[in-house]
Amino acid sequence: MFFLGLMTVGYVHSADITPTDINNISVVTIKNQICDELLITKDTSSFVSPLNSVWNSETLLDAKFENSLIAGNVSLMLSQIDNLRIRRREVNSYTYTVLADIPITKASDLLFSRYDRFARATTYQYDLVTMLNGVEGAIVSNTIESSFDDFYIMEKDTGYHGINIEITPTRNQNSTVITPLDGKYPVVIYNTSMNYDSLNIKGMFIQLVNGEFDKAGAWKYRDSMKDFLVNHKPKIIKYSDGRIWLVSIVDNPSDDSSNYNAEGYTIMTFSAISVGDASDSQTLFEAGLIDINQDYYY
Amino acid sequence: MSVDSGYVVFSVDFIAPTNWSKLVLENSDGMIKLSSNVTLITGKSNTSSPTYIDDTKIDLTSRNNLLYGVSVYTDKFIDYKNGSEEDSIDDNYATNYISIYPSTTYTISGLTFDSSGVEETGFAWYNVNGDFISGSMLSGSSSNGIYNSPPSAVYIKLTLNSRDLPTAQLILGNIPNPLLENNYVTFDEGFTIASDFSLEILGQKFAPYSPIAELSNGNDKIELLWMLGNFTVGGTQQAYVVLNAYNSYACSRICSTPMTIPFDTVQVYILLNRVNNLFDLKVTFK
Repeated sequence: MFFLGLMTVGYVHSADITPTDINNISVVTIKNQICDELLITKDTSSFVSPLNSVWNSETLLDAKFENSLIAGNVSLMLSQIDNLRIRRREVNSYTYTVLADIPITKASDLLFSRYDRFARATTYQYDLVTMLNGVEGAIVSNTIESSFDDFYIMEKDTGYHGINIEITPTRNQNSTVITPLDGKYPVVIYNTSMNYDSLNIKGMFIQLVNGEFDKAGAWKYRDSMKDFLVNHKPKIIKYSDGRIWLVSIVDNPSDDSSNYNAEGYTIMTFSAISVGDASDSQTLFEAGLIDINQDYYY
Repeated sequence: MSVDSGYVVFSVDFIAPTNWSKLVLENSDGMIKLSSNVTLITGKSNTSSPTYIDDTKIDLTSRNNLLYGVSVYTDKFIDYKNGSEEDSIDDNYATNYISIYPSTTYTISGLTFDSSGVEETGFAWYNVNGDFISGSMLSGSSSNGIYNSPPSAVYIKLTLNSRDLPTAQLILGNIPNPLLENNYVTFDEGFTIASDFSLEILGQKFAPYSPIAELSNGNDKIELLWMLGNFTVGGTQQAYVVLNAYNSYACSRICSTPMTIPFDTVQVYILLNRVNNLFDLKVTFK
């Protein structure tokens, strides 16, 4: 363009607006309107409304204001998840233990906390597995070294802590010794494949409250624990060295204070026998220790 | 004052998850605590007044301000002495009739521009037939205050200078120093716009001369404003959108192609593209 005899704005893009670099935008505000939808995408290929509002990898934010300020893809996620499975495996093992199935029907179902009371002292990988109609989808994983002090005896929703524990496991098998009339040596017959531990447990059960032993409330704690021990339900016993058993209590718990004069200190003794594999999901489920969706368990 | 029915009063702070993408593990008294912490895109609305939402849209209009959405006439003012609409040479706007209650207190606020001595700007009360009853001068911040409508008044018309359009308020009741009500929704978690992007707003009832969207990285800002203007001599007023993009080095400003001013019930698409830090803007009817 000639202006006052001079060539000015000669290049085709000479009059374009100044490129303005504003990156890493993290705050978007809308106001002064009735808004039906706010959509932001990295896909700039289309300059015709409406843009594609189906979530894809380019979508950054899509607020449809359908009775909420949801601007993420939770609606899409919810349509693709009907169950969230929690499972774990010991590192260097390929055997998973399913711990829980959580039905997902609404966004808030995805926000939760759960406790795994049956983890031994070892390193675990935990997985959150999305499921739809029994088919596993995306997985989120994390790893932790499980550690705890002393001894715990656990059920699904409660547990008790012991110190100075002595565990005496005995491996049991079933055999019969037959003495032949004309033989020098007896014959041993194994009619069953029994192979389980029986445990004698002796120790001091006292609650830790804010890192301190609760001596004043110790007798209440042990009374409660006695009810717990005789409730006829399977339990998990685990020790800080990594050992763990699924057991039932088989005798009468006793509480002996003869060796202690100090308040709150007594020695409790009871016996238990191992009744299953503490890392097998089906066994834990049948013992009433975990909730899993049997329809989705194979 | 009417209140829209069919809306549900909505919480002023709502959090919803988008990706369930974090699994937090910790040892806790002999147990492993597992927490599913989702990544959030958090929408927040202002806490000063309720925000209304239904199953398809959110209302971010200034409900208490009776001037919101009122049509105005360019280069006109209301002569407070007789209630007539006169031509203005001082960038004034005259509102159309605004329904009010008789014998009721109203608060006018947000006026700053003093046009006294140039034009007899003011407001006027009218009866059910649109006949002038009385009026008062409106000019500058000294005019902000409390006014009582006459017993037979059912309408009011005001003069607003262009500089006061974004801030002027007419509010039912005696409300000293009312805040400029400005409902909004902010999304500030769970996403980052790193480079090129497209933004689309489907909305309606945009407030004239007001910002309708802002995108910020904490320092720099991209701003969209809904504007009205007359682009031809003797032509009619049209609507358009202005984009201002500011950073510490430059400011870009572009306008969309003007369009017929949409009725409040008509939905409009506002589309913004940014490619290689250059912006493009388009406004279309749905």
